[in-house]
Amino acid sequence: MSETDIDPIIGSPAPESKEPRHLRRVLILWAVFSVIGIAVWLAVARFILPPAATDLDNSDNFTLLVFTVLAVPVAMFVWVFLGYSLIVFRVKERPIADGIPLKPTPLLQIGWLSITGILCLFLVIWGLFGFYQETSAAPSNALVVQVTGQQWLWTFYYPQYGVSSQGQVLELPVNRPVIFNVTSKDVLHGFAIRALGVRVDANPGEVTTTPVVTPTRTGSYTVVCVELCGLYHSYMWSAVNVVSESSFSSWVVSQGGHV
Amino acid sequence: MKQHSSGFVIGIIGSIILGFGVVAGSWFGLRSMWGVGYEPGILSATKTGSNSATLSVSTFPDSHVCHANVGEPQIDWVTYCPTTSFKVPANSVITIVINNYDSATPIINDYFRQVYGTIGGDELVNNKPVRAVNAEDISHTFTLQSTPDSPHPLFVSVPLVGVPDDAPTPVNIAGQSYPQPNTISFQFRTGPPGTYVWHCYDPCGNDREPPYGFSGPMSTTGYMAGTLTVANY
Amino acid sequence: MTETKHTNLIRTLFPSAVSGVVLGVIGAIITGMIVYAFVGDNNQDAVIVAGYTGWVIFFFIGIGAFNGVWKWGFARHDATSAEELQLAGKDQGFWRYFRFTTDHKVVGMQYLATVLVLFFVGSLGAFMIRLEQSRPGAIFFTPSTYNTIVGMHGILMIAATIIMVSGPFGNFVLPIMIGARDMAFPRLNALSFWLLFSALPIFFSTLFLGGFPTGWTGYAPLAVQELTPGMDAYCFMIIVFAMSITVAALNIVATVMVLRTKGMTWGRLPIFVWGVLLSVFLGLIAFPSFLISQIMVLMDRVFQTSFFIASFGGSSWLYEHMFWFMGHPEVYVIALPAMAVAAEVTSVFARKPLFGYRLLIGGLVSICVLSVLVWGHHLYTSGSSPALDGPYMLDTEIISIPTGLFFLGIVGTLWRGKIWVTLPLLFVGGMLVNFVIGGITGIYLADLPTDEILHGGMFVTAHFHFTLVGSMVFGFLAGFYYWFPKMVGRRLNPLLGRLHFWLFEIGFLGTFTALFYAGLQGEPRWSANVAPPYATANLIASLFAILIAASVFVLVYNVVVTLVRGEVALANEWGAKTLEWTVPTPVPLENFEQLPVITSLPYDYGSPASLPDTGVVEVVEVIDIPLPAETQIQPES
Repeated sequence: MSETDIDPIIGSPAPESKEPRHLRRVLILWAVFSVIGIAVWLAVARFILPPAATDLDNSDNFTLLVFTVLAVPVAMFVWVFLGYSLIVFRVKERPIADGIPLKPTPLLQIGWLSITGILCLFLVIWGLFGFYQETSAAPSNALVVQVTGQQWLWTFYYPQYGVSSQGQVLELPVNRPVIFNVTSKDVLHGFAIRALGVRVDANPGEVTTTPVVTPTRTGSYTVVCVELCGLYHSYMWSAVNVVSESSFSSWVVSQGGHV
Repeated sequence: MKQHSSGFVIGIIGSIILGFGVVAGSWFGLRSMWGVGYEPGILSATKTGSNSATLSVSTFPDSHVCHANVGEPQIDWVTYCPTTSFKVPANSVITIVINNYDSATPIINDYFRQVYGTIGGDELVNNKPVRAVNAEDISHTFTLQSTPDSPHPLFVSVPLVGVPDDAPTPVNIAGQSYPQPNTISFQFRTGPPGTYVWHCYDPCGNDREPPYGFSGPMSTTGYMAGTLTVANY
Repeated sequence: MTETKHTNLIRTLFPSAVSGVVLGVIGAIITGMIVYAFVGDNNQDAVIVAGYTGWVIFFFIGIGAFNGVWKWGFARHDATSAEELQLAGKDQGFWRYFRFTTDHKVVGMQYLATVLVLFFVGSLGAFMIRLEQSRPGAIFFTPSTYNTIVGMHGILMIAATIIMVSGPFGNFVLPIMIGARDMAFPRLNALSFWLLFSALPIFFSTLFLGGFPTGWTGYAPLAVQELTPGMDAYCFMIIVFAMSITVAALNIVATVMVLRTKGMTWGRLPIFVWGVLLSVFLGLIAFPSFLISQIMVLMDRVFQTSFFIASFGGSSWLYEHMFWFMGHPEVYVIALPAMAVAAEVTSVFARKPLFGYRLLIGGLVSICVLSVLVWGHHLYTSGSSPALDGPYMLDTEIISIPTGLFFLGIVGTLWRGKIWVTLPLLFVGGMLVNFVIGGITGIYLADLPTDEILHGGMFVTAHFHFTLVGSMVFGFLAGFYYWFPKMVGRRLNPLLGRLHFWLFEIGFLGTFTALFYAGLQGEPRWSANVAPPYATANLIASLFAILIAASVFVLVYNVVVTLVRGEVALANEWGAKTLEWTVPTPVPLENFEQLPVITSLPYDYGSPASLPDTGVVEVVEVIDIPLPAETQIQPES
């Protein structure tokens, strides 16, 4: 696309012949910076996004990855135009002349609104699709954990085994769907496990249920409280151990339950 | 600019230094402000051997003994006594003895009826071993938990059996009459040095109706919440 | 002779803020004691709330807010114009800033001073937070002190940002900009400021009453459960503050509606006026809900009702909805005027008309309308109404379209301008850099799949600091450096200003980028005790915060030095074309000798300028350097 093709869109008068072709320059800069930005993001993303332990968290991380790839050109558009203008069009002293009055042409207005609108709708549809995937019903073999928040401790009860975890530990078997029923005894708490993609409020007098998640990676993670709940809010913490099915069974027995 | 004089630069540096002085001053001021940052004194466990120590505390239904200087309504708050900041030796067996002078408040989370994390899995109530207590008989719990930065997971929770509501009050402490206390003792093993917090999980605060039962003394260090520091000494 | 002096002293002190404070304290003690006589020790909250009520009422008696009602309200005679001028602070010197003064410029200056003080105190809270979070473990503060500091920092900064543009500039600049002699309701104007003032001692009393644990959101039932009366201070402060901004908002709306000068049509209003108008209009919709929610919390606390207590039939979701019904429009209450300031400033320093004036206003109006229905995205994880998550998400993300128009407008205005990179424009540049990041991270939080790993975490904290501080406070600072010469008559040192900008921008980017990283790892908000996995990121954030702290002190130094011995500014310091630059500095009482007549937009750079027809234009030209209109090169139109 040559400069003369674009200029009528922006609505600026045709540049004088000696003037550099600002628009072409800035668009090239924008393309270059966008490519560099996306490349850098794809290179560092694996160090920035923590490893996921469930499919759900994995897809959440993927959403972050995709959204950021989309965001880089948008951000670069503003920054490159801003930086270029501030550097190239600056005058040293108080200006005695005025800038060229520009008006957005209808084409530019429609184009800008359409592009931002399409981007925005894409994000909404993506989000709705992800949300829809989480609404699947729990399979019959799903492990149910009743989570009770109380200032300032989480307690975990496994009704299928009639046993509570003895301490600040949430033990989960790998590759088995799990669903958390979360409630609170006193004030609002927020039940959150980053690596599992699970995050739901514990409301007094209500039971809220998380989406079904299936841990796919053994390891140690943490439950935190993400709703300010008073004095020891930042100590309201538990370990999450995702272990093999057999280890889980022996753990249940060690806590006084029966398999 | 004519203002590149040394006075100008000194002014900048001086104002930045003064500013950080203000920051330091407000840090100091907020720390020493009684109303928001009350930090009770520290009680160290008495060593009874090279690898053992004992700590003795009481729980009272009011604050006349332990916080005699506070006014209403704190004077009516239930409290651990003499303090809630404890220090115990590392890698040792710790015996905690609690004299409970308070009557029972039914617990609302059955989880805390049981004894967890002690040596032998039980506590001694007036020298009788107990593993779980009826929800109606509990007046407080002593529940020690790890913080996210604790080097060694430690979870100890014991229910404290309350005295009957109508018990006679023959014991006289600091001019107040109290019933004969229940003595609860239990043991646990500490690991390397670290910081832990403990709290009571029985709704023993004002009004005793959730969530009010968890208010007041329950969310104030020095009464029903505190820290336990494991240290080398 | 001594007797006259004596009377003069009394006349000076009464009515004034001094007599207001004295009477207010006495009133608070008396009302508190009366209620104490009835309820005794059992209901500390009732005594405290009664004391606060007494303080507010008697403070206003003491400052003379009711004198007008007494004199003229019962229609013994109408206020003469001499009396009106007396109320507006004529010939009262510096003391007029400490009285119930009705002149909009006095109120604007009072707001400006208050905003700066609030920002300073709030930033001290921020540095305390960074201090505590620099290392794992509760080392520098106890958790309860930390919670109180977090809550105080939060609500102080929110209050300050809500009023930061509409208060100082909306009161000082806006009436001149539309060619008015004062606000529509000058006495309400004074009332709005002094209500704000009276809320501050109430708020700071929390430090002596045990603090409050809830953070700035004041979530019930924690707020109801909390026994320390420090919580009452929070609730009561919100009530008084909400009344203050409601009064101020009504006044600004009425002023713009009826007091525009001849020819100042809606299509010729400076965009700043649009921004403030839409902001306060949105505030009128949003804040009553916050006010009512705090009254309900106080009733729960004082009268043992149970609006929010589940075990007695209440619901915590009720509070969340009432709070966020205010809470999300509120960020747009903050954003709209700051964005408008940026647009105003950009046009002046690019020496170009605003790029798409109508498009920009359309954008601001759309934001205003859409933002009323987005609050549910704060409740995605609450379990309150999952069926509504989709619509809330749609609405939240649609807001990015009109916000995009803002970027188009600024970038388009800068494009091929004659850009004079002054401090205000520098801050607009910083605002654009930060706002892009703040806006994009906002999308992550609005989208359901990403919200469920970020909600309630440090990512949220970093996001709203990028929007509220990096974008909107930068917008305020642009306005601050822009209008300071007009309001104070002196020129802030540009070198110190640049130092302030670069320290602030670098420190800001470093601090909150590090917190984005911590949030992505899953660090929860409001942590007195930073867990070890997030310690490094938090330490980096705290180190960068030192730069922010230094920038704040540089700003303070700059303001103090300028007030003491700054250079005198020109009446039209920047060569701008809006009306406030056509009047002399200091702006005379009643602003204009003759009301101007407007014939065009104030952004007609690059075309033959049509200066507004005012009585003081000659004065401007005497002290101004050559106006662009006379020397410019005419391009093809």
